[in-house]
Amino acid sequence: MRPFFKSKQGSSQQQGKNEQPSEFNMPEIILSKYLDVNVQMIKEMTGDSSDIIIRRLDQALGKPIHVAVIYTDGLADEQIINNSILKSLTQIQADADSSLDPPKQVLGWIKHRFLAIGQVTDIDTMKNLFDAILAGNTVILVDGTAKGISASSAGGEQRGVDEPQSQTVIRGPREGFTENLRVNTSLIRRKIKNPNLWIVDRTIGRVTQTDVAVMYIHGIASDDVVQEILKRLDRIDIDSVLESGYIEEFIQDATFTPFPTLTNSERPDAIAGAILEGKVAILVDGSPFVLIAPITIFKLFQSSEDYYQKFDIATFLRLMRIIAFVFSMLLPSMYIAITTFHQQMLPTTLLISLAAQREGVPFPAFVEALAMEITFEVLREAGVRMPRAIGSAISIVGALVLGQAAVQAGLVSAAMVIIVAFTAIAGFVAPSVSLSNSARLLRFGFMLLAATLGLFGIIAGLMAMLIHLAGLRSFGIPYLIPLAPFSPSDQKDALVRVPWWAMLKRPTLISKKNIKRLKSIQKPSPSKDEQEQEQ
Amino acid sequence: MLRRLGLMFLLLSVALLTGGCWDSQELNTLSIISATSIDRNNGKWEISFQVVIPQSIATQTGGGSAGSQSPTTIFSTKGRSIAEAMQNASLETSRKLFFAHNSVLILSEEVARQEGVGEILDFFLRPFESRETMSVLLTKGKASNLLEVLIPLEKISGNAIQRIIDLSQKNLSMVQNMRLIDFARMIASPDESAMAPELEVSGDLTKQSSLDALKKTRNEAVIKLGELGIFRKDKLVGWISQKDSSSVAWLSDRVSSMMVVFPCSTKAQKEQLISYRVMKSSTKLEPKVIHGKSIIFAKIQATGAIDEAGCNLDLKQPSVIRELERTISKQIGDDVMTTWSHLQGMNVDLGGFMNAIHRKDPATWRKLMKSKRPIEDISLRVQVKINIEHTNMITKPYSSLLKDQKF
Repeated sequence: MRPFFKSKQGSSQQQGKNEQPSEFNMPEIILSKYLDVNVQMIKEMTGDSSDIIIRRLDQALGKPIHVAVIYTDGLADEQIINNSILKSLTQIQADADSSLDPPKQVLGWIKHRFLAIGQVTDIDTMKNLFDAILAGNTVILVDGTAKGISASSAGGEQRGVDEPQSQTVIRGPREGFTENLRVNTSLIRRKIKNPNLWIVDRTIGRVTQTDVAVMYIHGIASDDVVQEILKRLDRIDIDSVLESGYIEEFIQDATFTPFPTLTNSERPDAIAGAILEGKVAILVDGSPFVLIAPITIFKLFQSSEDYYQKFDIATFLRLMRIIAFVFSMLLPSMYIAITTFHQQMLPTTLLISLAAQREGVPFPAFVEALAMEITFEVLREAGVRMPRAIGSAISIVGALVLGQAAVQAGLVSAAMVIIVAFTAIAGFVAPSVSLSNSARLLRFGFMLLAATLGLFGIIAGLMAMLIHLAGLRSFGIPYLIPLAPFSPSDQKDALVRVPWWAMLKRPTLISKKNIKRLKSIQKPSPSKDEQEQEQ
Repeated sequence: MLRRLGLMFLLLSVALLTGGCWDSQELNTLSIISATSIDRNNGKWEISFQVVIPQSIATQTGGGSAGSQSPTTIFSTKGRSIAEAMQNASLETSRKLFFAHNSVLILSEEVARQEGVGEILDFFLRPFESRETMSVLLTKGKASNLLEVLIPLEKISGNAIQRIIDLSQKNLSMVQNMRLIDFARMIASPDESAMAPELEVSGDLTKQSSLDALKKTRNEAVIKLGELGIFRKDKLVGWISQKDSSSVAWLSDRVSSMMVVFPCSTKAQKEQLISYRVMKSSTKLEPKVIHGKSIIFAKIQATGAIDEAGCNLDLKQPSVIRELERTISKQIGDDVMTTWSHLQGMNVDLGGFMNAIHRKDPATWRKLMKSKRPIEDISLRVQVKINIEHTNMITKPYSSLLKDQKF
């Protein structure tokens, strides 16, 4: 945001950047040659935690070699460890002529000859060791060498791929992301089978060491945007990352805005579609919500289903969503403005019926609207938090208390209940929760403006909102693209959606390169042979 | 950043709290006026308002029980000027008078004849909240009486009156809904002539002003449109009959739908009538100067259908249809000429003749305007062309079936 007032102490924010938090930085300890020392050190460093399993073997490969197999219970797949690691170590007899000196070679044997596991890497420091076992891998240490190997054995209990809870569709894939980063990347990879789908990994969170993956298609996504995202990710220095929301707040362009400058999705098909448009996906381990950047405001009105349904209904639904968004943002404030300032705007009969309803209401329209809106927000929050079993009870209480009793008691007018109910329903139309949240917040501001200045206040508020939107950017991309700046070819997939065979280009202002989606317009038509035959 | 935002928020809320709300008014602090009438009483203006009582109109709401209360209430205030009378209203009403939904303005003949409408128009055109679309009406008696009549089917009689005018304008064309702005414009035009429909109560007014009246199937009194009031400058100068007002409609090209009833033939008995419904019409005025005298040629064209035939005529024959067309033309032409002589007598130009002359021949117009009674110097030639497009679902009159039977 551009400074509105002159900054007096601009440099004060930069303090504290040099401070390096050190308590959780793993010291670079090289593994010892002696197995006992290593094992002891591991035990010390983990506080002898019960889930770090250290299995010691005095005899391996039929020879008197001391070996330790280390893994984390629950993260590693016991079956893999039993079948592929312990079995090979204990049951296979090494050739008699194999010399056991030096013991370094043993490690090589194990790695190259006996381990029936795909991904095996060498480790030589304690940091590597912990990274491996905490990721669910199994580490094998051999007495007499200062090295070890890590075998991939990640497994354990995971939630399976399930239908997404927050974004449901009628037509479209039913799978949703899970909490596992690898499963999530694979879900996307399965949709885009192309080596140009690149994944860049980052580990963020000093304590949690959370894996973050940045996915994009090399050659479609703008390099500037990718570099900018990586730069912003590298700048994050936080102890923990438990959900993609942590990352979102660090890398978004503007904090003090009701509008989201990057959105999220639980649906692999939506993410794949975004990646194919030249956008960048940010996946965070432990969260099924994948971030997409950069975005424009029109993207927030689009659902992945728009592309699966016929273009005409998709266009209609897009327009309906925009109308519903405007309603959910402005309806209560319009009601307040018109009934308290501009009664002349209403048809006479409507005015009289509204006046009759308001006759017994003790509060001004603004207070009435505010009370009802707050009541609804409370009900909504209660509906999200409360245990499922009580859900029906709350909805009955909410509907009866608000809908009927309040009107009959003369506390609120029936029209206000209709307004609030419709506003609430309209708020749920937005395909992106972050967008409906922005309408939710703005609603109260507009209500205040309407109560003080009437329609003039609403228009002034809308102007301010428009100016703000025009100034917003998402990773360097203007937020109102393709309307401002105007891009004729991008109109095909903004407010309307044209049929797929006519959508020749990707959004040009986001990807800037490799924008061709179709070679030519491929309008379906009867083939020429058939036409001739008919004649 | 936060400090700046906080400061902005503070400034904004101060601005909103100090400047805001100054003209906000809750719906339950308004008395919604649906009709206004203006009378003169002892040299003072007497204004009466018909105020809607919302509770009694809207059904099934928290407040008031509908049906037991009169839908409107009327109160009158007096003052030396209209504005003063209006202000005096606050002496007796608990709510602010709200004029934006006032649909009818009724003036008594006394006011229109003696005081003129200049002051009234000024008062109603000035405030931002008053509507220019309210209908201006005249009445011969006391104007406030009209507000008291309850109209069955309608709860708000002010709106009902406006709908009566709208409907009769659409179906009969002889009455024109005079909106305040049109009325003001006509009066201020160089023609200096204007008109406004008259509203009258027929029947026993006192019985129809109680809610009990609505319990009966036949009304004790009804409101209906009557004659047409003619204004010269801002004063009422006379009345013309409904028949004349249809002729005025023909002359001023306002006929959209009209019923013309005429005898089957010149020789036929009076009771044998045919009804012709005009569906489309146009009137063109062509001013000409012949031998130094201004003549208006009015070409009236109309298309319509036979809606009722009470005599035995073979409507299948084109010659019969032609004959009927000629009869209708003659009747309309005669009616128009009669009306014209009435208008000349009152020296009013309701057909917009001066305007037509002004457009065609400004020199003649200037010469005419020098005269005190320019309308008398203009003569009118009417040419009517009537077209019977169809005779609806049957061609032969039903009576023809009866005549041929021999028992």
